[in-house]
Amino acid sequence: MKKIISIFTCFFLVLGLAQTSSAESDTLKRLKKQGYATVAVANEPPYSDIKSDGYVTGAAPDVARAVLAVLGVPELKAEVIMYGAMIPALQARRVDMATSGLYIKPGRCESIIYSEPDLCGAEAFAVPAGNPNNLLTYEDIAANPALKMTTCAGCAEEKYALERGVSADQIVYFDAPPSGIKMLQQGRVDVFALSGLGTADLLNKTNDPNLELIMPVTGVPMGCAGAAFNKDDLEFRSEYNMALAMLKATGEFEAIIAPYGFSAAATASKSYLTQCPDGM
Amino acid sequence: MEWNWDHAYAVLPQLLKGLVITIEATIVASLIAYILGLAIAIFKMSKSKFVRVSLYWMTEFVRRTPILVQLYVVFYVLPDFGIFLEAFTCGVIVLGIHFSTYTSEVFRAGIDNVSKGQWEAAKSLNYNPYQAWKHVILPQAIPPMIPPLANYLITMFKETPLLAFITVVELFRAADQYSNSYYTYLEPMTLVGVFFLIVSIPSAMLAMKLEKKFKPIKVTR
Repeated sequence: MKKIISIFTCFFLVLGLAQTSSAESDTLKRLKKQGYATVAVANEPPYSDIKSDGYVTGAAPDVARAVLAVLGVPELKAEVIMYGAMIPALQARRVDMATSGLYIKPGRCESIIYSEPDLCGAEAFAVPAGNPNNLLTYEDIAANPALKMTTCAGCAEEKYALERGVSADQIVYFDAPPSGIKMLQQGRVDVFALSGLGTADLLNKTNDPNLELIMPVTGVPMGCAGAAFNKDDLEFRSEYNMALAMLKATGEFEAIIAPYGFSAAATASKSYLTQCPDGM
Repeated sequence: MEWNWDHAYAVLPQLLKGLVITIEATIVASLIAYILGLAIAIFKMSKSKFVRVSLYWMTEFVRRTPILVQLYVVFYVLPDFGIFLEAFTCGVIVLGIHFSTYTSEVFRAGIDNVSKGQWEAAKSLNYNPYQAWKHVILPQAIPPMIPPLANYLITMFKETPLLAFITVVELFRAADQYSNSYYTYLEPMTLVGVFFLIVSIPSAMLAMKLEKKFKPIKVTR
């Protein structure tokens, strides 16, 4: 029965895509004509990962690549941009999309628009082994002003921290997640905060017995990310959503994200409308 | 995109805090650059070939490698060898050492500018080397060095944003943090430019005045 529903869903979505192809958005027409879309990524495995030969992979770019292929855009060109600079880059149209696990947040929806969620995950801390400061929540960090935490500027984790009483002076911003882990190893900071799977991947690669993963961080919501677009790309976002829904219905979406440790079921009940109720 | 005064006012306190750190970093780094530069210039006149050649290669090495790479090495690599310095300390040491290789050339040219007869005069007064440097050579050598040294001070001031890459929240990073949180670069970065101009234009004018007052020496490398 589930299979039959999926087949019907696909049929109608393909029909929808075929109909829209006659009235494509200007953005999609441009991308199809040039043969590629420029996307912002942050190089934070497993969300996005740049291989040594420059090939961009990771859950978010792989989903975007598959969605764009459905839309008739064969190639994806990635630009590494720090999280905080992704929204200005979208606003300035330096990139066509941002696909790097940029969490859907109400504040961000004032400046950009999102696709339906593609990756959801818990939050994590990395701390010295044994968790000497007993840090399980952002409130624990706030309670001891002598502690320093590191995260990326403009990230969801920065907002979580500030909203929960961590002072700006306690936050040291890293330029790239591995440099944040390095600062933790050297004792420059007491705690590293980032997405759960991103932190786990880093600790796995660092393989340092002196560090420990705290996941999930309690008291913060599960973060859901989606592809982000310029605010004027409402039509293109609709086309993207339709193609994404088709991939979700066929199971291809799950096949892409599951090897990276993400759950397709976690995104099933989520919508960008929860965080951005005015539909933007 | 339109200029938003709300952003401009909101970012000002952070920028002022950043400006203080920028000025502090410039002052400390320039002190290191001047003191070390003078020491390098004096030791480069050593009779020992080993000292001269060692200093030559050391200054070449520092001068021919990017400041950013030096900052990353001192901040991220040295702790692995047991040398742990705070971010600000790393920044001013790297900037100071880097620019000391340039200021040393200013000092060398200034010292060369003092005629040999002055050394002989100091000798005839029975001065030891320390007294000769202090009372005869440096008082004559330093005034013409002031304009080029002032120019290096301004250059160092403009290089301080590099410290942002090792987590020092100076003027540029303060603006960058605001930009990352409120998704606007127009107001913060424009104001950063204005702040740099406010400090560097009067400094440059002062340097020009000093150039008129003291005939500057020509530095050759």
